[in-house]
Amino acid sequence: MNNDVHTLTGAYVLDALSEMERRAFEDHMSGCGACSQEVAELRETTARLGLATAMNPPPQLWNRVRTATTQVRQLPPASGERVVVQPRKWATRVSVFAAAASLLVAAGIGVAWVTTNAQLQDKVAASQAELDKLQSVLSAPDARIGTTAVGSGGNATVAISLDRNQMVVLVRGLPPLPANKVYQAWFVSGKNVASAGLLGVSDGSMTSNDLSAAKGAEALAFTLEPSTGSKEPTSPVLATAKFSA
Amino acid sequence: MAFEQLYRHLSAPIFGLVQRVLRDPAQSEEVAQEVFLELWRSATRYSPDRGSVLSWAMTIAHRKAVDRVRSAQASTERDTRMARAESARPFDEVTEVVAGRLEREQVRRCLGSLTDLQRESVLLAYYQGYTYREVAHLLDSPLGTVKTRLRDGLIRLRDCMGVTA
Repeated sequence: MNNDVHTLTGAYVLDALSEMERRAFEDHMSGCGACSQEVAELRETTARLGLATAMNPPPQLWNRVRTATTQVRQLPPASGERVVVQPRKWATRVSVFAAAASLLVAAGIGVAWVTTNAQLQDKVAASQAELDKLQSVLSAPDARIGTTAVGSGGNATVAISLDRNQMVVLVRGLPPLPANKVYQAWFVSGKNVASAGLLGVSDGSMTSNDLSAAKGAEALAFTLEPSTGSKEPTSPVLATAKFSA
Repeated sequence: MAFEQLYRHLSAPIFGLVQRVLRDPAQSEEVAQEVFLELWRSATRYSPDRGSVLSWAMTIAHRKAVDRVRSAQASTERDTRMARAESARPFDEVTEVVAGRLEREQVRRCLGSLTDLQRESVLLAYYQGYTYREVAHLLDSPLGTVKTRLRDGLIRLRDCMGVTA
């Protein structure tokens, strides 16, 4: 690692380099794993500095953004992946993005910044932990995503990687749980179902590191069960999240 | 729709940062709109193994805001602004806004763990969009020293905030 160039990570992340220096540093970084890693970490850091200045924009901004998006085409996925046309890959990527965005929403990031309360730090820490877990699953080559609406206005998002033996389930705005009941998730494989875990909340997340029952599963279904959980579903399926191919 | 959700939850951080750098509300709105269009355009290329959605969005927002400041730099406006900043001790003001308005204990505490010179350098570059050369000029310090301070300051912030990537 060239030390002199490497000290530029800070200035680079702060956009404090001239255009020429910036390009030179990016050239260097493309062959320097340690630099890329440091840049990624420092960017997460400056993002926090940015959050500290949050301020609601004028309401008309959304209308202008929405109108403008109808006139701007989205880029195809990065050129490195375009060697073979892979519509499936693109679909996965978009849903990865959507899942990451919905996690952000589920975690309450954004709204939380304009409020000030004592629980903020806890909430931030918890959402960051959820985000980290989700990202670990999503970065697996075999990652699959599923989302589904639940009840009126609720939703569930699942990210699963059999290779990494990890699954993250995120629910938001599910109908309130009756006393002594929990939501139970089920791996669905053809006509077979196997328990995937219990969720005792209407808003929150569930992670699993034991996916032995997930082999061959093509979806995750949710039912309402007694608080100790059931061996097999004892109530109608509320919603099913099919995994992306 | 995912994009609308993204907007709802990122519009305050993005607009706040852009306005922090640009000051002017009308220009800030314009640039914030550009940021969201860029997010929209490049959403298909977002990759979680390179960082969080938040860091991706804030990186684009900061770059666009700084680009706008620099494009105005050709005019004398920027020079006047620089001259004024020099006498106005901008760092104290920035620190106060950060800490006071949002009571972000962590940000305040972690900024407080930096040396004065690290903190001034980082704040001038991040919130006011100065290049490290300009920061060196404003703080009357050698270029190499400022480069090192920017990096050391951010590393200290990273460790204090417990940030991972």
